[in-house]
Amino acid sequence: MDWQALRLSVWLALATALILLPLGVLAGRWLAGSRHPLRPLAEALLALPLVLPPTVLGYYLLVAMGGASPLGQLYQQLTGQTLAFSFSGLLLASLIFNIPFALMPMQRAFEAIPAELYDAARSCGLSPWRTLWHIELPLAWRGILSGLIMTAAHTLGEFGVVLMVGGSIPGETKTIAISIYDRVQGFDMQAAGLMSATLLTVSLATLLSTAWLTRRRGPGPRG
Amino acid sequence: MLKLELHQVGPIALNVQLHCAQGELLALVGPSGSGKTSVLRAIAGLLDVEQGRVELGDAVWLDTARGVKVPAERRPVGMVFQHYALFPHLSALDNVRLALPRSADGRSGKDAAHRLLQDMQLDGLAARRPHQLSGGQRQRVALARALARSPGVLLLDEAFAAVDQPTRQALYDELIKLRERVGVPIVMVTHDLREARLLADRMCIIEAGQTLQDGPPEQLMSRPRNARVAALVGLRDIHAGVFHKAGPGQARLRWGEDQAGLDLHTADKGRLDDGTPVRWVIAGEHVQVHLRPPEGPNAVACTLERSRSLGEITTIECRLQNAPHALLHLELTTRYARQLALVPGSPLFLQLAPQGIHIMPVKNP
Repeated sequence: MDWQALRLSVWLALATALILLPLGVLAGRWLAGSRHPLRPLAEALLALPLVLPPTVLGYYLLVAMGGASPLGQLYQQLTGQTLAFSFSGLLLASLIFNIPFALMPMQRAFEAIPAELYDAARSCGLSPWRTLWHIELPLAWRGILSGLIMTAAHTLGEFGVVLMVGGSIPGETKTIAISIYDRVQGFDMQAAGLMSATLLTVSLATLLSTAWLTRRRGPGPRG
Repeated sequence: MLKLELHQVGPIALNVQLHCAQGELLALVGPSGSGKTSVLRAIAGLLDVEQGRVELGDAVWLDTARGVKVPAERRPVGMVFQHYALFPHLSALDNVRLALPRSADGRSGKDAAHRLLQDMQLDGLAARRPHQLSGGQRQRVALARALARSPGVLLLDEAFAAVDQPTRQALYDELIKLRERVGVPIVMVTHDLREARLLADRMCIIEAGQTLQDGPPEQLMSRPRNARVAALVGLRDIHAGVFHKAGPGQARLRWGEDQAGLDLHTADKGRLDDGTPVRWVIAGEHVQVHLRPPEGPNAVACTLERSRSLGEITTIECRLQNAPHALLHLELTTRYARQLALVPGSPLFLQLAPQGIHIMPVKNP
């Protein structure tokens, strides 16, 4: 078992989920309530990572982070390090390829709140902030949590984008998925099997917990 | 006094002018999709209108001409929604507490919320969530929540539509008692005319976003402005006729549009020309039922078509002998109907009080 790769994967998954939490909540809430004509385009762009082959997404991210790109140059000026093939670069890529996994369940959860409850909140004198805090988040928490779990699980298993953007630098960008690949290449089938079983268990637990969250809806939103 | 004026072309056409005094209950009545709820939402600030003005006393909530628009959350409005719109994740107590002014936090807020629930006979149910309450109890929580802000206006959107009849009756009583305690303008949207007549001081008939007529329910029922209002206030018998002058202050109303028909005496208020085709109605209270020909004007011979007992009330349908196309529907107390021993086919006489005949002009006779 490559504990270092597992630790790095868990850390990457947690950081990705935590950073996407506020962004997903804000964007999901905006998309759920928006009638902006550009909303379908925004939704399509944000869902792109779902349908793009990971290597294609990884390629574009690598180009965007490379030393020749404005972003790569800015990062290098600020930190003295390259963005590509670093943990920061890997985290940035992870944030981007996980957007739909975090956003979609959150957006659906906000969309499921009946419009009448928003009206009731306003006529009760609640400001938008108090409405978010007292009404929307308590009603949408299952979707939000579901988005976080999906994000974390997806991060643990991502291979193509990680390999393109991060390579396989132990302790920096070598995640458990890359490590499994390396072990198979080195004919260490026992370690590969153990790590694969770990990821399988995590994936199964994720799907079960998501199903449990979606099923246990509690009182209907209508009241 | 709540005053409002709303005008817009779309997406929901509105052309509404209304007022509602302190302590008055105004019912907005009209068919589905007539814009009643939109008016209520515009008062609450939940609907933006193209042009309009909404004011309560000295406070201007909306004045599109001057660019004034107070957001919904800052308008002191208590609103009860058709489907309760209680927050499903909160207890009855917390639903009410959340609507209290922010100054009433902590212990004082909790006590105030408890008092509001007690006023609505909800003692002991404070900890229950909406799905653990009956329809009537939810509606009471919604009322308590609407009152939590000490609103300047109370808005009820089909507030009693989703509960059963006995519960509705209890809620009516509750509202009547509430009016004694809370002297604010109350605007109620309903499609139930009985409810409007029972509860409202004034009724406003709205159709296609337009106010057609407003006034006390009795006035609208007995003196609708036109045939459309008559139909919307539920008058079943809107008769056709031709108006003829018959001396100073006197008129003759030919029942039906053909020459053969029945003439009724009525008053000439000088507003119609001789020979004008009209629609006319008469409220039930101006019609007397007799078994023998009565003395006096406007006695018409009829045959009883059918009668139906609805508990204390019996409805009868009478066909005129001289004008068989004309039908009159009346409500009698069941006791009186029994005294008359009416059976289908029985001859009877109706006497129509001249002052009860209300004549309306028709645009397209």
